[in-house]
Amino acid sequence: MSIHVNHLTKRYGNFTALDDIELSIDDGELVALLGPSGCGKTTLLRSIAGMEFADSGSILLEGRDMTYEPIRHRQVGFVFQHYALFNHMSVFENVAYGLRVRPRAQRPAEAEIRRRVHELLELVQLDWLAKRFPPQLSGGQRQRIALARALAVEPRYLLLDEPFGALDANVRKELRRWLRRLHEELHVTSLFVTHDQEEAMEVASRIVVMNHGRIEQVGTPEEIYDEPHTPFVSSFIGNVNILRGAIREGAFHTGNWQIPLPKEAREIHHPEEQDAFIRPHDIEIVKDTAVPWRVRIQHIQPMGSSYHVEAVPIALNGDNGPHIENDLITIELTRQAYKALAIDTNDEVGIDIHHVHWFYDHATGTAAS
Amino acid sequence: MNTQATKIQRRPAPTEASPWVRYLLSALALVIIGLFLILPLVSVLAEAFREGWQAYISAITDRYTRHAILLTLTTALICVPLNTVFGIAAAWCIARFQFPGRSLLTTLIDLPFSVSPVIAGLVFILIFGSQGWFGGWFTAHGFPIIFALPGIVLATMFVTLPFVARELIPLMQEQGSEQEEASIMLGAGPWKMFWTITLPRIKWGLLYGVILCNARAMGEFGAVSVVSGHIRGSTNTLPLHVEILYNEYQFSAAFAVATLLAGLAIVTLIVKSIVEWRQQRQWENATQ
Repeated sequence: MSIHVNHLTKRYGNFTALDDIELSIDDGELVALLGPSGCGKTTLLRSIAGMEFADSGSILLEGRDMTYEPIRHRQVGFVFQHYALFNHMSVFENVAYGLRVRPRAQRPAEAEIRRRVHELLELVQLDWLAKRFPPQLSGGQRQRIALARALAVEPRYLLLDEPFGALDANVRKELRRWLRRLHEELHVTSLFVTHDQEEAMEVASRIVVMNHGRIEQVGTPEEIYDEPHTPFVSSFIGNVNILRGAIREGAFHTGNWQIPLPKEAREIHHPEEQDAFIRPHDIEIVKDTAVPWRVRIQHIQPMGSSYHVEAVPIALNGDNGPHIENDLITIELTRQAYKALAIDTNDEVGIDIHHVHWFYDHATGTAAS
Repeated sequence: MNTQATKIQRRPAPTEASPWVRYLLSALALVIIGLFLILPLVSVLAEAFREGWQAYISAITDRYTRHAILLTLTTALICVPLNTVFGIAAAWCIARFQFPGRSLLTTLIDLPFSVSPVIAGLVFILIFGSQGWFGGWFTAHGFPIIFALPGIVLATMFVTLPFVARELIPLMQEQGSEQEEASIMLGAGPWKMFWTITLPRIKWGLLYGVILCNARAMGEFGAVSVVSGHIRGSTNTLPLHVEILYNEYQFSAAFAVATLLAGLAIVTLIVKSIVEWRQQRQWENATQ
């Protein structure tokens, strides 16, 4: 049950919600559409569902052009951010709704409807709530009922619009795990929208990162994190230190700091200005005074399993220090590393940079050092 | 524990006024309500029964009174369903779709509220009267509009047009269309969606609008007065009948007929409170 999106474009007046979107999703995948609000991810999801119509381009479901087909021919199950349960119907009737509204010829018998609804309620482990009404349920319960309702019509595709966005952090964590297990059980092609990178990494087998109506990168959570193709992806997925500078004589210069370039990068023509993207955990603190890059520790933030250290670079010999976004370098240490170093605020330490992401050309992609 | 609890005194809320102000304002409100709402109602009843039960009964079972009741009911029976359908359609359009002229339509729906009913009546005379634009044609084809039932219905419809739509537009805007989208996503057609989702969700607001619409349709005086011609036993509605009786110095009969309208108003208020109470409960359930 594959989904293919070809050159899909949608504008609202001057605002481009979708800009030439190309996307393929294979049968049985669980894919996340990830991006900041207003990036077009929900518009894309609603276009696939048939609730919005694009200005140009096409949507193929299982190879068939469905761009202008009405919703009911698409066999799509949709889960809304705010559940959209029918408050005037019991939980049972909510789940049964999709079966009851079928034309008489296709409608299952009452006994069959009962059996199916209870089966689904058992699947979402809420059979005991069948007689309740949606306003009497908690947020997590409502979203599970909404999912059971969407599955009742046996959709070939399951589309979820920020399904956990309105829930508490704890419930959200639990439901993520639960959704992944459910997907392993049912194997229905699923696409969900989220602005939470952690959620996308945890649930999806593949992530589509979107920004300003365009797809920035498609890949497994690992690829997206380890090999971001664009500066946007690098800074949107996880934390990153951005050093502003320029490339001269085969090295990156920012203030009086220098970072050597990887071999393959030296042969590429570079623009005047260049940024270096460094993940907080790719920086190591060393107590060796001979290290050229020196910082003063300003703040230490325990994060539970790790420690975030904020440090100010020290300019040597009155020269300019490096140009860093926010003027702070963030370094992430494991618990053990932190304990072993025994550092405190206002300490002066050296840092060692293990890995830098370089983006030479935003259009063509990346090379990592 | 107990001794501690007794020490805690009830402190006034920061927004609470001093007792004097509260009592004064409450008394003022009661006096105004008594003077302008209760007293007239009592006086209507007192006047109606001044000449005894017999006179009251004979006044309201009078041939012309019975005809006026029938005409008023007929008018309401035509106007209220039509305006209900129109109100739902208009509210649906305005709350669910963006289209050019949307705010103009919203304003136009309010027009009957801002125009004097007498002017509304005169407009229909200008259009359908014997000297009007289309009046001659309709009369020539045996379907007179002015000084006949169609004119009364038109005038009443004009005056009562906003009630249902006004009630539904904010309600439907607030509810949003997500549940309707969910219904369509689950395979419902537009009609099924309307009967199973839209209508059940707006039913109390709709009923409230219908009650107000009905009350006004039965009680409308100004616009109907202009187009009806006050022909007894033919184009005389209840409110017009009260006026005629009064002008003929049949005070007791006039007030007797007026009790019917007052009774209608009281029944409306009771039904309206029940509906409001149900609406409130539904709202509380939905926002728990």
